[in-house]
Amino acid sequence: MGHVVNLLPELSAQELDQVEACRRGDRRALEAVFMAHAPYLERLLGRVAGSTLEVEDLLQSTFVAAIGAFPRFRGEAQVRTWLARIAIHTAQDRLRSAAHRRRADVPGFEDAVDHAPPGSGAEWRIDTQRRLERLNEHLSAIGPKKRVAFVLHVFEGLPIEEVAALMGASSTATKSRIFWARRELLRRAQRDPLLRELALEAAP
Amino acid sequence: MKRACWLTARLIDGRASGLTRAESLLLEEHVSTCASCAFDAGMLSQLQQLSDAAANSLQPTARARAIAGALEGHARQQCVCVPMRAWFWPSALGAALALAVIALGVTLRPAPTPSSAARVATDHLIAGQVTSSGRALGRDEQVPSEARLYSERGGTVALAHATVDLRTRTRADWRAGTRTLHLRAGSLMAEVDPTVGERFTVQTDRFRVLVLGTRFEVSADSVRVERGRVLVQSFEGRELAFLTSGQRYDRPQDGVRTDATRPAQAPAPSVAAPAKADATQESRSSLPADRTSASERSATDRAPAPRLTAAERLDQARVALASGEVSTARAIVDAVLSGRPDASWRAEALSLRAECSLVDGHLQAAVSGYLLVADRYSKLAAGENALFAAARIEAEHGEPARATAVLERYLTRYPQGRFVKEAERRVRALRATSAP
Repeated sequence: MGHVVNLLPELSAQELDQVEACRRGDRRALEAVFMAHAPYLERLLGRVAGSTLEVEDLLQSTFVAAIGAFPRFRGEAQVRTWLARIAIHTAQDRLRSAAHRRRADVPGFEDAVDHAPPGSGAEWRIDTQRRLERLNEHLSAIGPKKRVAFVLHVFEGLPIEEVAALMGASSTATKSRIFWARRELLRRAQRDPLLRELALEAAP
Repeated sequence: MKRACWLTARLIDGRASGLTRAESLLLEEHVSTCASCAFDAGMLSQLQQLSDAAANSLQPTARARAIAGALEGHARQQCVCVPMRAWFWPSALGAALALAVIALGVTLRPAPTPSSAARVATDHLIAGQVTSSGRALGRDEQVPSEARLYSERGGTVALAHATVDLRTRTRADWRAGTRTLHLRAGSLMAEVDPTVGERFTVQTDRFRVLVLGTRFEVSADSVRVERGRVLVQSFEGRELAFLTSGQRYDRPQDGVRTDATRPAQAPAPSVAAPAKADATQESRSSLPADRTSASERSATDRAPAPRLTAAERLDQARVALASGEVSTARAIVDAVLSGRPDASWRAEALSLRAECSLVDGHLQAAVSGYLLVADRYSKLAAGENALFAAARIEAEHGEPARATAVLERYLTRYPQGRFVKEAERRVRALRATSAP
C-alpha cells in the first residue's frame, strides 16, 4: 500500500480543504475565501483603477471570474496570488474597454480623507483632490499594461518578479513596461503645473 | 538620457521594494549631483503619496455587496439552467417533471437578500478595542452571532448592515438573528446602510429604536438622528417618537426637540403617552425651540449630556474650519475644553485646536499641539492620529531629522497602527534623501 504525498506544498491542509470546497461551489467556503482576501484585492484594484466606485464593481467581477475558474484551480499558487492575478486581468480588461472613463471620484476621496491624519486641513484636502484627479488623468493616458506594471511596482511596492507573475509576463517585459511608464508619467507630470509644484514642494 | 541617469531611473523605481546598501549609496550620490534625477525622485515620491491617499479598502457593506453579488449571480446562473432544460423534454411526463423541477428550483433558490450574506460576512471588528464575552477581538475577527460586547476605550464593529461606533466604557449585547443591539451602558453611534432595506434595531432598557437606513446616536436615555429616520418605541410597541434628521428624543419627558444646530426637517411628531416607567412625567406635543428640557431632567437621568454637546460642538468647529473660519473654530474648541469633557473628547478637541494652528500657518504650534495629544492620550485613537499628524507636518515642511524621529516614535509605539506602512515608507524616503 502506498502513501499519500502532498504535491502542492504551497497550500496547507486546511487551505486545500477550503479550496476543494470552493471547487465544489460551496457558498460558505467561497464567502470565507473572498472575505479573507478582499482587503488585499481592494488595495490592488484601487491602485490600478484609481477610483473607489470602480473598485467595488471590479471586485465583484473578480469574484465572479474566480467562482468560474475555481474548478480549474489546482493549488499551483497561493490562493491570494491566484485571486490577485484574476483581479489584475479584470482591471486590465476594464482599462482597455473603449467606454472606460477614469476620474478621482468624490466619494472615494472622502474615504481618502478619512484615511489621512486629522491634521490635514481643508486646503490640503482640496489640493490633494485636485492632484489625485490629475494623476489619474495622466495614468489613464499610459497604456494599460505599462500603467498596471508601473503602479504595482512603484506605488504598491511589489517586486518585479511578483508583478510579472501577476500580469502573466516575463520579468524583462515587465521591467521595460515600468521603465517606459515611469518615463511617460514623469514627462507628463513635469509639464503639469499642478503636479510640478508638488515635486518642487518636496525638493530638498 | 545619460547612462548614469538611466540606471538611476531604475533604482528610483526599485526604491519602494527595497535597495541594497550599495544601490542606496549610488542613488544618493547621483541624486545629490543630478538635478533632473533629484526632481524625478521627489516627484515619484510625491505621486506615491497621492496614490496612497486613494488606495483604501472598501467599506464593509460595499465589500459584502460585491461578494454577495458575485455569489448571487453565480447561483442564479445555476438555477436558471434547470427549468430551461426541462422544457425540451418532449413527453407529457417530461413536462410534468419540468413543472416539478421549476417549483423545486424556486423553493431551493437562495433568498436574494444580500443582507443575509452581508450579515454572515460582515459581523466583525473594524477598529479599536472591543471584547466579546470577555475576550478581546482581533481586527477583522468575526463577532459571534450572540455576543456581549464591551469597549473600554472605544471601538468600531460591523454588525449586519450597520457600522457601530461603541464609545468609551460602552456595553451592548448583539443578536444577529434579529439584528438587535441592546445597549446596556454608555453610548454608541450607528450608521445603517439604507440600500439593504432591512430593519436594524438598537434598544436600551427603556426604549427600542428601529431604523432602516440612517446615522444616529443612542445613549441610555436619548436618541439623536443625524441623517435618515428612526422610530422610537416602548417595549409594548407603542410609538414614543418618530425622528428625522436633526431631531433628538430625550427621556424621561418623552419630548422631541430639534437640534439647534440644524433646521427641523419635518413637523413635530405627535408624542405618545409616556412609557410605563415614566408615568409621572409630562408628555409634550410641541417642538420646543429652547433648551428647557435640560433643566427639567430628572435626577435619574444618566444621559452623558456633556459628551453629546461636545460632539455636536466639535462638529460645528470642523465645519467652521473647513470653511476657513479658523477663529470661529478655535473659539468653539476652547469652549468645549472649558466644559471639561471626558478624555476622548478632550483629545479630539485638542487635536482640532492643533489643526486650527496648522490651517493658520503656525506650524510649530500645530506640531506642539499634536505631540501634546499624542503623549497625553497615547492609548486613544486620537493620540495615534496626532503623533502621525505631527510627523507629517515636520516632513512636509522641511524638517527631515525631526520627522524621522517622530515617525520612529510612532512605529515603536504603534507597531500595528493604522499608518504603519505609510510611516515606514516615509522613513525610508527621508533616509534616502537626507544627507549622510
